[in-house]
Amino acid sequence: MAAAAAGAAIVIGPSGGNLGQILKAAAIAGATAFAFNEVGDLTTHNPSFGTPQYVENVAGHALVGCASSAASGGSCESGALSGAVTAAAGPFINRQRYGAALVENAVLGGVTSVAGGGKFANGAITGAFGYMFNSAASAFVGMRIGGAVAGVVFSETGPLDVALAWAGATIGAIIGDWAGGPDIVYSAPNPNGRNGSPEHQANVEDLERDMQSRGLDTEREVYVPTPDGEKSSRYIDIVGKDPLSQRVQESYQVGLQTQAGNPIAREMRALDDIQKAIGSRPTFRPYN
Amino acid sequence: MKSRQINFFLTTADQADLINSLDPLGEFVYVRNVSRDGTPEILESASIATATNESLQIYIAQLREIKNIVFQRLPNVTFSSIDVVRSPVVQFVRCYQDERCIRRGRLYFVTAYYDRRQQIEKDEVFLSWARKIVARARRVLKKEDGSLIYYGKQALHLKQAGITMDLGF
Repeated sequence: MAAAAAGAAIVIGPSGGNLGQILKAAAIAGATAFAFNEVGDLTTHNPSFGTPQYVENVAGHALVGCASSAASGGSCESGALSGAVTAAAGPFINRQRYGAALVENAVLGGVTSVAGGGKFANGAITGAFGYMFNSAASAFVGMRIGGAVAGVVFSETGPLDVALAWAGATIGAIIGDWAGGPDIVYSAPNPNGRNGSPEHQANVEDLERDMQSRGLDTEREVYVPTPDGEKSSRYIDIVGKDPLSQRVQESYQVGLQTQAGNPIAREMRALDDIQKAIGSRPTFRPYN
Repeated sequence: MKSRQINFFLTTADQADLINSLDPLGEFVYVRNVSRDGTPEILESASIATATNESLQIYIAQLREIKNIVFQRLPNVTFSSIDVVRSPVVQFVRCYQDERCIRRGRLYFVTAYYDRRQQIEKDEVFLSWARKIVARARRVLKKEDGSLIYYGKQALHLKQAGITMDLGF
């Protein structure tokens, strides 16, 4: 994987090394990046705190951290701890800008590694990679570009390795953030997977047809900034708007309900965040 | 279902700039969001006509994909609407503007959806073009710090002058 170049630059940067070490580190970095990205794909990348996906994400990061650390000559325990703790803290520290979140993940991973008996650098790398290749997946393309450039430059420059590698990777991430695609990529929430469910889609379609037949324009997956909420933004499943003024007349959230007939906890938190942000609560429509 | 979107605040002039910037991205047309006979009604332009009862919500479609636009029948009315989920279209919600506020608009398209419980990925040629449309908008517009909302040049000036940027709720 091309991103391995970024990994090699960062992994080798702090310690310097010969060609054999560079190639080994590149292979480990590439595999680690790939594994973190896979964990993200399987667990929705930035799962909400307390959800089953969150638990799986933390466990996945622990496994990858363990394997990566052991392959690099460190201990499995410290690697697992770094991976797990940074993933666990993800919902709280990954909302910030790319650079700040990256540094916080690296520092947290490093400190945790030391607490677990490992090296700060190894934990920092685990934490940083976990963020770059799981949470900040939109920067992935940029990492490829920047990392590759940094990797090439690094092999010629000696003492400037770390700064150049880091700068290259960061610049690459910014490029990726700028050119890598739209800033909002939305997948409907779904307890059974990350792509929504047929039932969810069917219920939204029912609401859509009903509102359109009453003369409203409809919009799906409407972005709502929720700066004071549990998450920094939310999406309303569907709204009905006046066609001329584009003012929202009706809004609906489709989801699962408990046996008592209330929205499940995840849906309730979303509704609370939205209500706090826009001053009204979308109508909840259960599909179970 | 999976989708992509970009949200923005644009004045009429900003909107014209955005539309012009999209022109080089191949042969495409703007289409009304509803149809009386179940066939696409192509608009002369995407600019907002004054004193009209037209919806601010329209669609962008490649010429080659016009025939693949899917309409959904609506209950109790004589018109049908474009099915944004299954059609190879980009929804373009143009911004409402008056002397007090500009209301949010957006570009939005669906990349994958469920059909008979199977997830269907839309045609890659369409997706590639649709991504370019949104990417072009990102380049033309300015992103607000700490937010995922974009602004046109004039809208940004108006915001600084105290005009309300309204999410529409």
